[in-house]
Amino acid sequence: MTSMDPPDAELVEKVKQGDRHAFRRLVERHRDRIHRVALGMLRNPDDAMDVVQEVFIRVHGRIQEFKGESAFGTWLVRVTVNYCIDRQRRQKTWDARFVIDNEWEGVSEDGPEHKLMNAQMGEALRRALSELGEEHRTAIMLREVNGLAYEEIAEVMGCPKGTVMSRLHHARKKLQLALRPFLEEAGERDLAGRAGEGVRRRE
Amino acid sequence: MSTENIRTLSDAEQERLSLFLDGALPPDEAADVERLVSEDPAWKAAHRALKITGEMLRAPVERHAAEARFDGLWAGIEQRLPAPERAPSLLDRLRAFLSPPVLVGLAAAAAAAAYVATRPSTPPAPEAPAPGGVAARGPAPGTALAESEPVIIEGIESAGQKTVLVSQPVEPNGATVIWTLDAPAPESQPGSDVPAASDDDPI
Repeated sequence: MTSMDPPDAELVEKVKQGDRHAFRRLVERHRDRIHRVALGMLRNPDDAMDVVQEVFIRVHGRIQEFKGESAFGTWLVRVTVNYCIDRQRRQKTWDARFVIDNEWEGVSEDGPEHKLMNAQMGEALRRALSELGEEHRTAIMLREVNGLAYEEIAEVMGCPKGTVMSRLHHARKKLQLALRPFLEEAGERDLAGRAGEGVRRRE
Repeated sequence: MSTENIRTLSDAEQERLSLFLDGALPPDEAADVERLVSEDPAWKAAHRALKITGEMLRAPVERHAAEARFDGLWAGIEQRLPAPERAPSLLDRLRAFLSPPVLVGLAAAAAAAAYVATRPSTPPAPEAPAPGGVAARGPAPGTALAESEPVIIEGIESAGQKTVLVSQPVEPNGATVIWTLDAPAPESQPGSDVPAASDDDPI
């Protein structure tokens, strides 16, 4: 936002009075963030783009309900998360189209065996995520993918900060357990010198 | 690095590591965990697993987010927004004003005005009831009405008595006084100027 850009609160007031131009500016300002939240929650690019549109239409319809008690961006994320959860409930299962990236090199070096292991890790992570409750999965996505602080996650999810910390701890423990066999196998091969580096990605 | 003998972190240790990764530990505690991660294989393995988990969750989202195009987003949203409310036009305001009760009143007033403007020329009304002649039931037409032209608009005959409804405009303001007269039988009122009303008189 440049110094010429009005703050969200000002644009929201204009939208409440029927100003479409102001709403367009809000859409353009927040669409990337909403898209990332939807991608993290649904892990499906087509669905995520649909969600962006649906969320903004919902927000426009409910703009009079926004009292400015939280930041507009936080309110938007909250609407997005609720919409994604509704969508997942309608689908009955967590229908992730992707979990790991095809370009992700994973924890081991190139070669058919390693690619297979990376694929297996992806499947293990997908399974572990699908076995998490939606509250734990939402918390870990908002933290790891979207980088929200505990306080923001608490506001978005409508729960105390302590609950957020507990959910994150629980989710991480489950995911770590799911990946540990693969990490140990990779570690036995060649990761002794790279422990703690995290993940390499092709440039 | 052999993982055969690497213990799994306790629940409390896992929670501490989770807080460390989120930057939620006080500096002295964070320094302590940092030391454990670099020295203790269990802490090192758990730390690495969590780092990789986070990277696995983020990487595909970042790629899809970078590839996202929002070209048709606003058009799609705008198409589904409710039509903007325009300022009411003069015609809209007139329509709103002309509710059915108002229209009925206006129509009645217009009809009365048209009647007065197009009324046929009639003989002057009697200025006072003649003795033994027509007796005024309402206010007698006095001198103030002398220049007006009363119009008989109804005549009713019952049991030998004739009642006449007379409309007399008061000029110049156009107000109309309607009064009734009891007319005796024709033979008893030879001097009356009021024309006898009959059933087929035009109103």
